[in-house]
Amino acid sequence: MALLQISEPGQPVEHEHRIAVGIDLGTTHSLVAIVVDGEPRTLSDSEDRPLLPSVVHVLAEGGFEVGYQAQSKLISDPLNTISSVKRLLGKNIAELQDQPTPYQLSASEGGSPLIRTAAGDKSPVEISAEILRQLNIRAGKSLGEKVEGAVITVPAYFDDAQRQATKDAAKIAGIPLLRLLNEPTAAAVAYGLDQGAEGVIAVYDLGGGTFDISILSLEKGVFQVLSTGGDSALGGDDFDQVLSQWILQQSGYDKPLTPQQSNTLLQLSRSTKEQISEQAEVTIELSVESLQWQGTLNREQFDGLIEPLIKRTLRATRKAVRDAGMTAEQIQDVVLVGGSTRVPAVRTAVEEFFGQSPKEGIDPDRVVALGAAIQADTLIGNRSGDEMLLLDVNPLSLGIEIMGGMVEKIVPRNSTIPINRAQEFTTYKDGQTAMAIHVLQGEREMVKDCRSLARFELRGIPPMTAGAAKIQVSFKVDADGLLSVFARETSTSVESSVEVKPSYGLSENEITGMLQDSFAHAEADKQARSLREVEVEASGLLDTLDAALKVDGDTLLDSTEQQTIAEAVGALKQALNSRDAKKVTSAMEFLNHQSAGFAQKRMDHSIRVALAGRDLDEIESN
Amino acid sequence: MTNSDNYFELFGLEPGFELDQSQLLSQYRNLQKELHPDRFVQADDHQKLISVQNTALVNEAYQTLKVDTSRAEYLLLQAGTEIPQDRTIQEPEFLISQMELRENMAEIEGSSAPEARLDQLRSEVEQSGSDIKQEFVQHWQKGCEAELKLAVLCVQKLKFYDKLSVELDHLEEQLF
Repeated sequence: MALLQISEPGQPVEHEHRIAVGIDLGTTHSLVAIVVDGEPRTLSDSEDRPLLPSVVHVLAEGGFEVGYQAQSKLISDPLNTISSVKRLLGKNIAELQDQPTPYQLSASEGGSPLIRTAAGDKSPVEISAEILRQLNIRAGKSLGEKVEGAVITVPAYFDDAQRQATKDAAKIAGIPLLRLLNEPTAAAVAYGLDQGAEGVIAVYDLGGGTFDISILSLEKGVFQVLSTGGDSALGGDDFDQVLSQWILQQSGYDKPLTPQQSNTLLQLSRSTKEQISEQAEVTIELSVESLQWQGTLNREQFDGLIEPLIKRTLRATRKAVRDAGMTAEQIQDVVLVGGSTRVPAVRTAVEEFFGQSPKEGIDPDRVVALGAAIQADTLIGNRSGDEMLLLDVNPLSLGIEIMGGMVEKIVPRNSTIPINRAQEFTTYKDGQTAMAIHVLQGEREMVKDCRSLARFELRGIPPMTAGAAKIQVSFKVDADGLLSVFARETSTSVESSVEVKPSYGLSENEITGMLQDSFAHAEADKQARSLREVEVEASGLLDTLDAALKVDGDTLLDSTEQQTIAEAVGALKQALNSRDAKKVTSAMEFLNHQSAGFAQKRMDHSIRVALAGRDLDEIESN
Repeated sequence: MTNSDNYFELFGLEPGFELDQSQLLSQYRNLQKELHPDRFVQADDHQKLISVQNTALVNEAYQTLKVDTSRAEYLLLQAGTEIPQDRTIQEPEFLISQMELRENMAEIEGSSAPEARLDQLRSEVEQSGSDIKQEFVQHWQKGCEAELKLAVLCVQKLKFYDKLSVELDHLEEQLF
């Protein structure tokens, strides 16, 4: 496919429409959406409900209930019913100490939290995978076809570990992930394409558990994120918490709460919050075991309770606007995302800050999933005709530890991804042959205030005097915002290098174990499927290459080069007859290898064309 | 990639400190439309890798040229001059002016009209920065070794002002 997309983005080879979905994996609710006839729409369950509560009930006898079914177990079986698991995703146990959860947590091998349930310890990744699996089933049922790819959204402020964890959850759920997409960017896509907006927009996204603010510029189909900021532990759930505290205080109850009591209280707070957003005063009746209280709450009181939380969002907003090199007045449109933006005090605060009323139109609960569906549709190749492109940024700075417990930043936040950055360091002792490298993420200057992503050692440095060795540390951030780090000694002919992919505490073994669990029953299926998949891929490659050769073969390749590719094409065709997935795969790899030079030439060619600032269609028709 | 050795060429721009930001941006977007990994989701690993590398390079080049200080630094690098990383500036007047600016900054927090003072200080910093940029252009254009040395000094000074603006941003965040 690629060869073609390089030079003729407007004219794809005829191929059938492929199923790709957008998934909003939210703290309180999740959704799945798909583009039908060019229009994104969310998919509902059999009872016509688009939202799936992000609640998973772990059954003692094995298996899970997900969504509304699970939600009804929050009170009857609180310890085995997990909600807001996104808050635990990608965290390590130490980070959760000051974040209250109603569950019994223990630490895994790698230090990530495990939730104790009647069916054993479950990691947040597995629980998230169940939610994804449910959405995948829903999509498969309502479309009658298998989902071939998905774009899953994450808060822009998610760090590397949280992104990696989300990716692993998709893997365990058996969902082919096309891309992780930042939630506010997804919302901007849905709005931008819906309303044909151009200019600079702000997306204020206050969900259940996270707050994100992004400033984007939209021009000619390119969505460029200028800056992003937020708070990965601030959302509507916190409104519920402060309201719970208030109710508890009013009731004068001072004994520790049972799990039933605290869940009832929390649910009551949530419904009270929803009611107070619609009316001026709400009557509250609390009665669970010995905890009894009756009273009223008015809008003013509620606004007072949440004011400090709203202020925190505005502080982050101000910073993001400045990071974008803008002032609040220069923002053309403001888009609100997330259920918590239904709270009137939130809307008023945003309106005052930007001096304009936010855009209306798309349901704030659905807008993220809709945008993700559009991006999924584009990535899978269904809409390669249009010129939409997303340029996203990394939300947090990346760096390594240097002397004195300080952090040297290598990739600053708000850098457009993908990005590669390298920096040179040296040894500080004579004869030093190893160097410890500690990779960190965050904005603060001290190591202790940043998130530790990975530690590794570069060994085999030739002994030299202090300061003579040159250690080059390279950071690579890919289009999903995921980091890999590479270190090598460059001053001598001896090169020693280490590559590290930071992980969030789940060891590779643990992930493999979870994968095996989830795939155990589908092994036979998988083999048949994998043959079909490689066959499709191989014929796609042949089509693409054929089309590309017709256009550029004679101009870019000499006859020997053409011959080399023709031979590899023949080999692949032969392998296809064998119906052996391994043979097809290796013949495909060989062909890819043999045609790589051609691909590069076409890429260079297309760069020159892009530089000339003209459309390819224009050139080719000349 | 063939053009990778010259960022200006990559964007079809004339090398120089003065630069048409809107042309830089539109050429940047044109390149991204061709090269971005999102265009290669269905491609094989090799092409994906090339795409990531190319895009990363274009991002780096864009970022370097977009920002005045890094663009100036890049021009010097192209002229064969490196900016020493840890050399201090030995110019009493400059150091005194820096100290004064920092004293002013420290006084903002306790003052009666912090917002107005912050704005004033910010505009002073911006003015001084733009004076130095003009100075840089003059030295860089002459191009001989002695002039380039003076241009290096300008870049070093610019870095001081950049740092100061970042600190002003932090201060503003704390205050409001």
